[in-house]
Amino acid sequence: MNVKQFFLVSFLGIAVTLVSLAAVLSDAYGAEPVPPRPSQLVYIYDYAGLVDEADEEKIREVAAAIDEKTGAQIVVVTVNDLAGRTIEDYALTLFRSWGIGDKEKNNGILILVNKENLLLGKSGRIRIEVGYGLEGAITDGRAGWILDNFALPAFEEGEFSRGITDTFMAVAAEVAQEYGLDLKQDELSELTGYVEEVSLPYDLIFAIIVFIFISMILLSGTGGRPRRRRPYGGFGPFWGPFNSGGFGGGFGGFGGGFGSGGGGSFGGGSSGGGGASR
Amino acid sequence: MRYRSTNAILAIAIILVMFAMYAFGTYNSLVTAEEDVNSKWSQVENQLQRRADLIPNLVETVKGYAAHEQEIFTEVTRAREKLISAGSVAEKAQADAQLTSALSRLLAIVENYPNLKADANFRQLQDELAGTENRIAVARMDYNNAVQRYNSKIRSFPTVIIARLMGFEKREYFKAEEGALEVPKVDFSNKGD
Repeated sequence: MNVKQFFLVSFLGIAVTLVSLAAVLSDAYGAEPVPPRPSQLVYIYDYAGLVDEADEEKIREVAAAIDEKTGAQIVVVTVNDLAGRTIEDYALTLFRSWGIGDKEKNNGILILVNKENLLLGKSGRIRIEVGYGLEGAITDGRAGWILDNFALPAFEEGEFSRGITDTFMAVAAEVAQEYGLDLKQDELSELTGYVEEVSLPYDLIFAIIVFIFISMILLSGTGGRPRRRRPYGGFGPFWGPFNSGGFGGGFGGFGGGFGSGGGGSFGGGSSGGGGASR
Repeated sequence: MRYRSTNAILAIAIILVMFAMYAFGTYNSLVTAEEDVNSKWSQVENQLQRRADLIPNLVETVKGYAAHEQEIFTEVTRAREKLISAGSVAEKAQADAQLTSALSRLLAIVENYPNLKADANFRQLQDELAGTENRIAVARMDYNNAVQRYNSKIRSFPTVIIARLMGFEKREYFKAEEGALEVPKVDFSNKGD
């Protein structure tokens, strides 16, 4: 009896050792050249040291609030270089190995910044990688638009921290809207400046257009047709404020005592390669 | 004597039961692996479809600025139709590669039309297309990995016995011929020019 038990126990022991050894080995074998998954989710991992302390704090606060309310995880990572990979490949690997977003909902977003190309000013400097579950909220076209309007203009002026923070805020605003969050809440108030005002005073704009139209007719009353407008000229009043890059001016400090130290954890979400890069 | 034969029968029965359990287990794991291949393949197909769906819109937009480049439009449209009608994995891979090369020529022409490049609509399409191409690359990688897992499973001993008995066939990788696979890289860094 005792002998049998001894054999049984030692057999089980050997089996367990072998299995765990195999798991460790295969893990080591499959190790990817991206930073290892941090034990705590703090939403911004500034490995390349591009983001100011204050901006980091802002990002952390908003990201934590969105995670808490919706479960969507928006993570910013800056790296020194891409270890010889494309930014798409690197972002995907990092996204999947960290598991950003919920495992079932795949509602994670990664904003990856590559310092090397950022300093060189060439493409492959920044990517927004969108998890499966948020592809509807942030289409590739939308992601590209955000990069064109928030990241690149600031980067061109050498203001990397602002570019990254604005990009994050624009992404966060889209996500918050997708989930129908109230942007007037304390922790999210930062986002209001990044939203294309859906509730623009349309009647006012309409009145202005009518006014312009009428005055054009009146002014050109003597003859001469009004000049033809450029096909996309109509976007002017809507996009104008976003293109000007005049953000961040009027926002006061945070009132809320929202602790960002709590720290959630990565949910195991995956991405199918959606998003855009610049 | 009787005691011995019952013992032997019992032993045989135990062995049979164990074998049956092993066979069921193996069979189920093969089914799982094959289903994994199937689901990854449908991802590839989705993304290919999505790419094909973007083409008409893209062609129309480019036409608005470069109407006389008729030849390349026909080429892209033809490559798209081929992709839609392609059946097998290899055919699809081939058609996709052809579409890629036709598109790269189309996008090279775009370089001559700064107004087109600055068009907000075109830029968005461009992003959608680039994103879809990246998704295809990801879906292809996931699919090929699933095929590799499955194929090596059905060929390794002793699973191979069950696989043969139950008619599990080797699956094809999604791979086009060399040279046609480079997806055109679109660089937006000179957008100000």
